[in-house]
Amino acid sequence: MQQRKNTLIIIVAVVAFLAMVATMLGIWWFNRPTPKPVDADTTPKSTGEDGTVYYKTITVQVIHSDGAGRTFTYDTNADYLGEVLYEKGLIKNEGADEGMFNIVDGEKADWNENKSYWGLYVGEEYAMQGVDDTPINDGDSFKLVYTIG
Amino acid sequence: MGKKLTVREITLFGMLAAMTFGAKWVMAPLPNIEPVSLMVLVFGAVFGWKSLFPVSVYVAAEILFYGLGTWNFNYLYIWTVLAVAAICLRRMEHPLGWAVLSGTFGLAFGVLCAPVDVVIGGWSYAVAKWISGIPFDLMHCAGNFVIALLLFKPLRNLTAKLYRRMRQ
Repeated sequence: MQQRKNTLIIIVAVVAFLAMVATMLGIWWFNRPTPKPVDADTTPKSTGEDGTVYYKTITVQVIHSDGAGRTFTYDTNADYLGEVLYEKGLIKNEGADEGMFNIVDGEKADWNENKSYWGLYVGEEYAMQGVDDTPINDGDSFKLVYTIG
Repeated sequence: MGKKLTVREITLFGMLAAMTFGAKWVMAPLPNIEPVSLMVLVFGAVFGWKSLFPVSVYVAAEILFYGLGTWNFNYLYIWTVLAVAAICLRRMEHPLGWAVLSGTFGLAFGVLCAPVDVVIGGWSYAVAKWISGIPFDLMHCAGNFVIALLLFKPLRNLTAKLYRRMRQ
């Protein structure tokens, strides 16, 4: 009798656990940042030299370790920020973990040396995900700030 | 909590905290896959309220090694929550039950960290950070579940056996 009761408790616990997993997966899925789709009604922004029509223009401000700032404007059709920044050569990975970048506009941030890194901001807010998972839409602005600590 | 700690227990708990720290270090390259949850569960199940000693030493080691940061506040209570859950459920024998407990802790890790984020950046910041961290919580959950399902029972039995022998 006690064993049956214990088995029932375990079954209920497993079902509740799976329900929690499904719920959290659902919460994330319906709230994850995604790029807006480009369709026939989207206004083109520019045309490249090779004839490619671009539908998005984004700006990326870089704040270097000495406080100097540079702003870059890119015309693109990419869905995520990493695609653009790597393609344009603004960010690079030199010896950092896979999926990370440590060089921005030629300046390297080295965590092991002085606990420095490049902080990513979407608008004025600190990004909750990396460049490869940050969606871009027309008019978006981003910041890459050399940060210590 | 009962009797005072013996010298052997003080030594044991220090070693266990060091082993927990070392085990985590070894598994650090695997994102959100960690043995700490398993070890805290075993400590809670075997040592009862005395498990808070190795847990506290482990937290202190983490803070000393990795330095100061907002995560320090999380660590002051998060592993204690798991230890207390293990202490309360220490009569549970079924490995699936312990796997569910460990998996639930992994799933809830982001939520458990949220109170500090609320203080730092407000509710919007805390909620946004939690949602963006859900994929990592899911990985944490899966890792914890599997590790506990496979290793909790043998590790608990071994630890309990050695502890009994030490106290004789």
